This record gives sequence, C-alpha cells and structure tokens, in this order.
Amino acid sequence: MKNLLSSLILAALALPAIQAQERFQQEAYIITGGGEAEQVWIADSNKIEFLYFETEQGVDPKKMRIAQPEAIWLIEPPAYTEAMELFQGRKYEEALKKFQEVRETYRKLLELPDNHSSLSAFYAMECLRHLGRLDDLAKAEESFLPDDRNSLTRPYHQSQLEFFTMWMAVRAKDWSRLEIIAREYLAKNIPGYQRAQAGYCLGLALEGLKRPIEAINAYNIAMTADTGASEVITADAALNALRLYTEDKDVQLAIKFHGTPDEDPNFVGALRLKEAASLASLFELTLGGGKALPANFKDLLKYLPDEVKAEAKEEK
Amino acid sequence: MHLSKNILAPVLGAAIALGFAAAPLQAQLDATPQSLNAAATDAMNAGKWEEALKFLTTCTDRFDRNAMMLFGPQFGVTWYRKGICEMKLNRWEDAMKSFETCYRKYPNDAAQAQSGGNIFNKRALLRWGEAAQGAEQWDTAIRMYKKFLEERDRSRDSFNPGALYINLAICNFKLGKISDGIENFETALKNKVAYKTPDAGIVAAFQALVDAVIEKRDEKSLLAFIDTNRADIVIEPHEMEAYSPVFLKLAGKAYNADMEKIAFALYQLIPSTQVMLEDVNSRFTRLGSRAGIVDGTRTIRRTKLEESADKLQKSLSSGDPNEIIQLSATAFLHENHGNVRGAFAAYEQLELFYPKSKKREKHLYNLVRTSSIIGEVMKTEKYGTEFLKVFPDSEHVPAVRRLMLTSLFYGGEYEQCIQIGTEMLPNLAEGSKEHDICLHVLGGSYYYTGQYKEAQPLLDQHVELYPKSQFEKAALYFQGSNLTRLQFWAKAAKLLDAFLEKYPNAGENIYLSYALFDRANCHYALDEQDEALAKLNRLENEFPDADVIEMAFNLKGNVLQSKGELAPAEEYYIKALGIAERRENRIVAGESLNYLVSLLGAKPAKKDGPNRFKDAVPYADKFWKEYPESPYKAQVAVAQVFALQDAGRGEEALNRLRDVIAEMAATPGAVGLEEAIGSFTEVYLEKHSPDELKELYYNFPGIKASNMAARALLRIALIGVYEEQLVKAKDPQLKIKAEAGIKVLFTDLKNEFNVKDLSNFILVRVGDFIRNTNSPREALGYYDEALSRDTKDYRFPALFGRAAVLATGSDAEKAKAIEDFERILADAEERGDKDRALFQLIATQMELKQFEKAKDNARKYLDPKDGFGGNKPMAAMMLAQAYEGIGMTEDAMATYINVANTYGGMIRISAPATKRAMELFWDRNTTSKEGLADRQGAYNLGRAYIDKTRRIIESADPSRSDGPTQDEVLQWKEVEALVQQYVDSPEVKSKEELEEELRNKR
Repeated sequence: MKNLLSSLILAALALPAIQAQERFQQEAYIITGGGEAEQVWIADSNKIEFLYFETEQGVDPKKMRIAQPEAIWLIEPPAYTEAMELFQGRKYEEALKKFQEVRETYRKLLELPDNHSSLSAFYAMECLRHLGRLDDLAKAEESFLPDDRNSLTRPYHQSQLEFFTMWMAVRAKDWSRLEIIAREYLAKNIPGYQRAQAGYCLGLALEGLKRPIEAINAYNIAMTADTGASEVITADAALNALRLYTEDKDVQLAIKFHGTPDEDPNFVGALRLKEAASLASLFELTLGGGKALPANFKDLLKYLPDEVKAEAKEEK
Repeated sequence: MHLSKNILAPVLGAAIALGFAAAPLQAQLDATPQSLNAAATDAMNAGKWEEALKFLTTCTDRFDRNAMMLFGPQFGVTWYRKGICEMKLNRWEDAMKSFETCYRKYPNDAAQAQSGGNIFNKRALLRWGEAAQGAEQWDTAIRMYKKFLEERDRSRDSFNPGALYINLAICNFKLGKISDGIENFETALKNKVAYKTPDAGIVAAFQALVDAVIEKRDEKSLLAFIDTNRADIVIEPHEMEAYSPVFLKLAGKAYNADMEKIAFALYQLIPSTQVMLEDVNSRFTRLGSRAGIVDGTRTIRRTKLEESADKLQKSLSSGDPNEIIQLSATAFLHENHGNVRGAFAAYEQLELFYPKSKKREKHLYNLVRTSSIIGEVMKTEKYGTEFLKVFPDSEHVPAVRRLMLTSLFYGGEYEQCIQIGTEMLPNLAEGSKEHDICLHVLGGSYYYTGQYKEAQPLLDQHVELYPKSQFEKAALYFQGSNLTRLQFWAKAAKLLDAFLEKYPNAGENIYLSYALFDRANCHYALDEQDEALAKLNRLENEFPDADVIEMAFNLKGNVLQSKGELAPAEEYYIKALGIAERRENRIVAGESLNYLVSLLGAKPAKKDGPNRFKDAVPYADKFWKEYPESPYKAQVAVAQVFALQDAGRGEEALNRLRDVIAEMAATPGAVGLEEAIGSFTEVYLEKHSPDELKELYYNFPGIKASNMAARALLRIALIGVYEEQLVKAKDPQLKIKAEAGIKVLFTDLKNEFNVKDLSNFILVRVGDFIRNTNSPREALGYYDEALSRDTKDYRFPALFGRAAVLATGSDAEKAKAIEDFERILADAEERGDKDRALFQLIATQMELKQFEKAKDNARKYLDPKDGFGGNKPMAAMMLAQAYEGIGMTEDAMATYINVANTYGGMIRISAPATKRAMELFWDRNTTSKEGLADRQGAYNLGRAYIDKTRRIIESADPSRSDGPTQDEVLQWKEVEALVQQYVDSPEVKSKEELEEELRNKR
C-alpha cells in the first residue's frame, strides 16, 4: 500500500516549482453525521485512507480513513462529463480517448468508491465493446484492477464486468462455452441492454454451432430486449439474422419458386422468407439505427407480405 | 435619500408588515404604497400568493393614477410583483397586463435607472413573455423574450439564459416553427453548462418538439435532432424516473400517430428500471445524511432520490415497470411488420421477467400465439400449459387449446398431439371449432405415426362432420392416403380420385404430388400397371422436385419390372438411388439398392440363360458398406445369393444370411426374416442334408432359446423342407417320415409357442394347418392375432383363413366371412388371394341362399376378361345352382348342360350337373317345337353322359391317385340309376329303341 504523504512529498521534490493549482486534486465533499458536509480537495488515496486539502489551494494536507466519514462525494470532473456525453452521443472512439485520459488523470483516487478513474476505465471498456475491439477489450480487462472493481457502486456495472467475460468467449470463438454462459445470463432478470448482449452472444454461439434457426431466435432477443437502444448490437443482430435467412436452403428454394405455380405459401422456406423480408423492412425502419440496409439484403424487400409492403410504402 | 424613492426598502417594508399583522383592516385603510408592498413581499416570501396579490392590487387600485408623479418609476415594481403573484396563480392574462404596465408606464430615465428606479422595468418584458407563454400566446411570448434580450440592462437584468432559450424553443414549437424552435433548443443544449439549462426545461422543450413533429408529421426533423443532440437529451438514470412517464407518453402518442421511428427513438431514451434504481441507490449512499449536493450543473437532492427509489421499487414490485410498455410496443412493432419471431422474443421476456404484470394474461396469450405461428411447438406447449393453469377462466382458453394442438401438429410432435387430443376430444362439443381441430389433429397424428387403424375412423368422421373445415384439403388427403396404408386399395383409389378431381391445381393443393404417388401405389397394388405408370409419369413431369420423387421412381421401377421392362426399371431404380443419396434419404436409397440387387441378381428364367450377376454384386457390396442399417437387409441378403455364388462368394452369402437372420431375429417384427430363412434353407441344403439343417435350426447361432418368434420361424422352415420331401419322395417310408415330421412340428408350434410370440407368417401357416384338421375353428385364434397387429404382412392370407373358417359356421359368421372375402377381393395385391376369395365368396353366398349375388359373382369369376379361374368348373356349377335358386330354370338347365359337357371328365362336377339337368328337364315335362319331349330329353342327356364317361368309371383303380375317387364313382352311379329310372317310364324310349325306330324309318 502506498504512503500518501510520501508520494505527495516525492511529487513536490520532483517538481519543486509545483503550484497548488497544478497538483492533482479532485473536489469532493466529505459528509459527516447530521447531514454536514465539508468541501475538500482530495489529492491521493490508498485502500485505507485518503489525503486531502481543506481549500483548493491549501498547503497542509490532511489524512482521513476512508471508512471514517458517512460518505465521500467526488464532484464529477468536466472531462468525465465530456467523455460521458460523447459516450451517450454514441461517439465511442472519441469517448474512449477521453475516458482513457480521465482514467489516468484521476488514477490516484481509484480506491475511493465511485471514483472517476475506475468509472472511466469501465466506460473505456464499454466503448471498446461497442466498437467490437475485443482484443483491446481483453487488454483493458486485464488492466482493470481489483480496486477498480471494488470501487464500482452500481450492481449493473459489476454485472457488466462479468459480461466482459462472455465477450472474451466470443473473442475466443469458444461457441459451446459461450452458449452456456449466454443462456445462464438469459435466465436471469438483468437490465435490457445486458439481455440484448446475452441474446446477441447466444446468436453468435448458435451460429458457430450450426444451429441457424435457434441463432435467429437469439438474435431476436438481442433486437428486442431494450427496444433497440443498444444500437450496435441491434443492427448487428438484425444483419446476422438476415444473413442466416439468406443462407437457408429452404429460403433459397422459396425465392426460386416465388411467383411461380410451384410457390407454396405454407412451405417452411416461404414462411422464413417472409420473416426475412419483414426483418429487412424493420432494419430500414428502426433496427438499423439510421444505417442503410446493405445492398445484398435489399432484394429481400420484394418478398414482404402485401399488407406490410403497403404500410412500408405509406411510411416512405 | 428621498423617501418616495425608497418605497421598497426592506427595512420599511418590514416595519409596515408588522403593523399589518397587528391590525390588518385598519392598516389597509391607512396603508401607503410602501406598507402595502412590504406586506406583499412578506406574503410572497411565505408563498401566500393570493394574500400578496390583494395587497398589491389594493396598492395599484389606490395609487396608480398619480403614482408616476408621486412616486416615480419605482412604483412599476408594484406592478411587477403583482404580475409575479398572478403568474403563480396561473392568471396569465392579468399577469401580462401587470408586466405590460410595469414596462410601459414606469420606464426609467437614465438617472433614475442609475439610482434604482423601476429596477424591474426591462425584466418585466421577460416576465411578460413568460405570462404570455402561460396564456398560450406564443407569438407575444416570443416577441417579449426577444425584446427583453434587446433592451435588457446587461449589468442589472440577470436571467437564466438556458430557461429563456428553452422557452423560446417551446413557443416556436407550439407555433409549428420546428426549425426555429430547434435552433433555440440547440442553443440551450450546447451551452447547457454555461446557461445552466435545467433538465426539466430540456424535457419540456423536447415534449413540445415531439408534439410539433407529430402535428406536422415531420419525423425526419426529430430523428435528425435526436441524432445530433443525443448526448444532451439523454438524462442520467437517477434523474430519469421523473421523466420516463413523459417519454413513454410521447412515444405512445407517436406510435398512435403511426410514427414508429419516433416512438422507438423515444423508448430507447428510457433506461432500464433496474439501472435507474441502482443509480439512485448509488447516489443515495454517496450522499450519506446530506440533504443535497450541487455537482456541476446538477443538484442532487436526497428527498428526490428517496422519492424516485420508492417509485421505482414500487413499479418493480407491482410487476409493471416501464419495460412492460417498452417490450409490449416492441412486440407489437415486430409483429405488425411481419417479424413474428421478434414479437415472440419480446413476449417471452415479458413472461419470464414480469410475471406479476397486470397484463400477464395478455402477454402469455400472445406468447402462446406467436410461438405457434413461428413453429416453436415446445414453447407453445409449455406456455399454453402455463396459461391454462394460471388463467383457466380466460376468454382465450379455447384459442390457447387450439393453438397448442395445431402448433404441436405442424411441428411434428404427433405423440404429444395424440396424448392431448385423446384427452380433449371427448370433452369437446361436436360442431365446435375446437372439435374440428382436435379431430383433424388427432386423426392426422395417428396417420403420421403409422397408427392407421386408429386414424381411419377419426379421419372419416372429420370429413363427414366438417366438409367446410379449414383443414378440408388435408383431411380429404389423409383419409384417402390412410386407406392406402391399410391396403384398402379400391376404397382408397376412389377417394384419391375424388380428391385429385376436386383439387387438380398444384398451386392450391400442396398434397397433389403425394396424392398422385398414393394413387399410383393403389394402381400397382390392384395390378393396374398402365394406370400406375400414367400417374407416375405425371408426377415425374409435373413435380420433378417432389418430396416423394425418389419413392415414386422406385415404384416406377417396380411397375416397369412387373411389365417385364427390365432395362427401364433398372434405370429408374438407379435414378431413385441418386436422388435418395443426394437427399440423404437412407431408407429409400437402401430400398433402391435392394431392388437393383433383386433385379440384377435374379436367376435367369432358363437354366444357363444369360444373367446379370456381375452387375448385381457392386450394388450388393455398396448396400452392405453404406447402408448396413437398412430395413431391407434381409431382402438384399436373399437377393444377392446367386450373384455372390456366381462370384465364388457363396460362403459369404450364406454367412451373411445367417448373420442377418440372427440380427433380425433380435428385432421384434422385423420384415423379411422368413424370406431370409427360406433362402438360407435353400442354399444350405445344396451342400447339407435335412437332418443337418434340423440340427442347425434347433441351435441356430445367435438366436437365443428365449427368442420364440425366431425359433418358430426356423421350425416353419423345417416344415417346408419336410413338405417338399413329402411331395418329391418316392419311397413310402420317407413320405411317412416326412408326414410325421410335419405333424410333430406343427403340434410343437401349437403347444409350445404363445401366439403373441409368433410372426404373422407363422400365425397364418399354423392357422392354415389347423384349418385343415378336424378342428378348424381352433385356427381362428391365430388369424385373429395376425389381424390384430398393425403390421400389414400376411394380412390377406390371414383374412382368408379366418373367413374360410367362419364360412363353415352360423349364418352370422358366414356374413362376417363374406365381409372378409370382399375385403380381400377389393384390396389384396396377390391375384391368387383375390381368386380364392371370390370363389369362397360365391360358395358362402350360395350357402346363405344369396343367389342373386352369387350369380353375379360367379359370372364375374367365369368372365375371361376378369382373369379369375382357379376353380372354374365348380364356379360354373355354382352359377347353375344360383340360376336355379332364383328361379331362372332355363338358364340353370343350360348351365348344367354346359358344365357337364365342358368338364365331362371331371366326374365330381359333371355327374351332379348332369343329374340335376336331367331332373329339371324331367320335372318341366314339356315338348319342344321340334317335338322332343323334356322327359325323353332328360333320359337322352343322362344316357349320353354315362355312355361317354363309362370308360373312366370302369377304369377306376383305388391304388391310383389320378383316377376317379369313390365319391365320384357313386355320383356317376346315381346318374346311371336315374337314367335307368327314366327309361323304365313308359314315356321314355331307350337309346336302343330310339335307334331301332330310326333304322326302321330309313
């Protein structure tokens, strides 16, 4: 465990000209009994205690045990707010960079509950997940420390950390294992965006295990679990399902017979073709999140049931 | 400082206020603008807006007329405050007037402004705008806001720019000026931190924007706005509890306006309830006992967090959080657009994770419904069962039952359909939709599981009861097809013809190719080869990719082979094999190989004639290598024998047969075992003696002593060997030995083996053996056992055996026998079976004195076109008797004479026919136009017969088997006696007398 004062002294020795405003510190409130709160600037922490200044430009650091106050409220750094807004705006590359910066800047406080370094490291991993950079996610996961994990105060953050393990099975293409993990998650009452991930991963696993129709069902879980709010997963799930439909031999046969005397509306391929066409139209409507339907699936729209076709035309 | 200029000084105000409190009425009468303003300020601070307004109204009423002159612009503050109170009381129009007065009537000049004056003069514009906004006078509001921005004193007129731009945005949206509104909204959002734009304001503006785009149907603007400003309109989960109802409402509104993209864009902005609650809890913990904290632009309030946590918790425990609406809408969207699989996924999540929802009944019903549509039959079953358990009184119960059954049926879960349908059917009202479905599903399930006997009555009933059922086509097809499986070929043919005529169009009839195949099978079974070929050709031309095409090609091979067209038959077997292998239909591929081996491995008709043994061998080898599990292994083991022997692999053939026999013996009901044993017996005896065979068959390798069925088959094979010996043996001792062996073996079979252990083949053989003993009725148990089984082998021989026994019984039994004979006649594939059935049918009808029917059947039997004729003499005799029975004496006489003439040498037929003809002529006793008297004719007929056949009778030798029997001799003598009796009559002249007369005439 690091010695807080000595690290501060060492920093001062290394940079003798350091000014108060240049040193690392984060504004916070130390909340004590009876609703009282003391505004402080925390400069460092370890597992047991933290070091703080009573004023922004204070020179006399004080120590307090983390467990001593009722609570510590760390004021959200503007850089973190900015990163979060990029993340919410679905600009994951930019958000990632910002989170990585915040992660480093506020690293000294990662033993404190809800600290912005750990939160940033967490959201950086979320960015990597959204970007599909699973190799980088694996590295980030390795550098996510036990203290980071302990500092996260929201259960859905903790459970998302477990989900990263599932994504590692995707990376390893360990389909059998992935199926087991994903099914376990799908049996639990988890937030919709996590169920969407589990559904998507299950779809990948079943695809890998050559069970295409089951995979399509799983992708449908992914598309519906959070009304499509997980835009990357929703679009990818829809496209994967469309690909599986077009690879289906019965669907290919139904396309061949479409509009000929041999067309049989009750044929399983015809029914699936209709589903595929519907899914393609839903992709254009909402599942694609504004992305255009890839050209290789455009033809599917020809096979939309008439009533849906009419409606789609009306919408356009 | 001039007093009048300081009317709003807090200190004075406080003093006056105290005075009011002591004696309000008097105080009001004595009040000054200062005192009234002070009292109003106190009331405003206390949130007593009505009270404050009274003081301010009193003040303006009493002093406004000369206020500018008496108090200067400072009096404008009274109007400003009055406006504030009116706004608080939602009296927007009044407020607008108050602010207008403050602005217009009490402007500051420069000096006054410096020294205080009407400090709210410009800010009144802002408030005027707000009041106008409250009064929904959007234009005015915008004008005032802009005027405020233009005229405000930057040093004094502070304001919240975030709120102002939000208000400008709202007013523009309300006026339908979407782009102007968005411009202001984005100004507020982009400067969210600097302008301290409140989240509540963002939500209010967003709400106005959504309303405007719905009104204008300008979906694109909103979607573009969300895309650009997503980060700013996404609200932190802990704050979202308060706003999520607004978003849900807006989404619902958009959905109802058919703007699905907007609806879903809005639903997506609402985080999971769990996430909101956990974020609230996290912040609550971080807050400790603190009432609140200002963090950047955000103020975190403990009470608000508590309230949100409480509401979120309640929504979760009540079972109806936001997700119910979101998932339901998602399900609806997906289904509405045809992606039922998506709807199913959403409904399943609703059922799994929100089972306490007030709408569970609806969700669960929709789950059952959608799972059924997408063919997730096990899910339909699972959730349907749950629905029936939890909502037994629901209006959806009948529909759920229907869905469960049809879903299981179309999913191929026939065993489950049988289980459920059997329980359901007795409880359903005939004529109801449920009864229609249940009957169809149950009948169809029996059909698909090969339980044809059980299926037939249900299929018949369905066709009869529900001619307009949605399943009519399937029902008609199943009914006809099922009959083919039961080998009711004639009846099936009739129904299939009707079906094909009613639904000839492939586009409307998915069963067409199957029906053609079934009909071809009927033709083939009924020996109508050309018709079978016609159907198969049609199938081949019109449905080259039919599911049954490889089977049809095998059948076509069979038909061609029957017609002796061996080369094309071979070609079709090869075609069938190719398709079956491509489709991985291993059973049919094995069947094709079997036919090829049988065709090519057959012994040539003439000894030493050309053979195709060499061609058969590769197919046989392929069969054993690639299809060792085929059900045709016994047939192939038999068929390959000669080909393998020819290839010097005789021992291998024998071993294969032995192995197949042992293997099949272990499989109850294995088809072809008896043929395999027969073949083995034949090959084995080529190099071994019958005694060696007997020894082998009593201890056959691989067949356990407990395997009664196989052991019985081996005994029967031995009986066959003895029977052949009996026929061929010339040594009487050998014959006696063979006869004794047969008797012992049959007695063994009867006594040692339970009928349940015996195959149909053995049952029929034992039955036939017993039928020919003195206790024929004991054979019935064997036949009945064979007929009670679902397996179809030896059905017609068993039916014949049973009928033959019953035909010797009571009239009722005879009638039953007639049914069996007629069944054989209609459906048996073997010509011999049909022949003997028709013959016995005639005989039985004669016994029942059903002469008319007997006559028709006898004529049919004798008609060369129908191809019968195993026992024509006796059939002709019965025809004569039938004519006689129905009083057609002339026809009877003629027929008797024909029989006697045609079969003269067959004394057992010709003697009684002659005798009966004589009697009939004698009894008629008329004279023909030519002058021949019947009685003389009767004599002449008999005399001619006995003269013609006397040589046969006189040569009778009891030691010869080919001579007349004792019975025949007696029958002949009866004719002779009658001839003598007639000639003794004075009416009749003997042959000799007639000849004498003739000579004298000459």
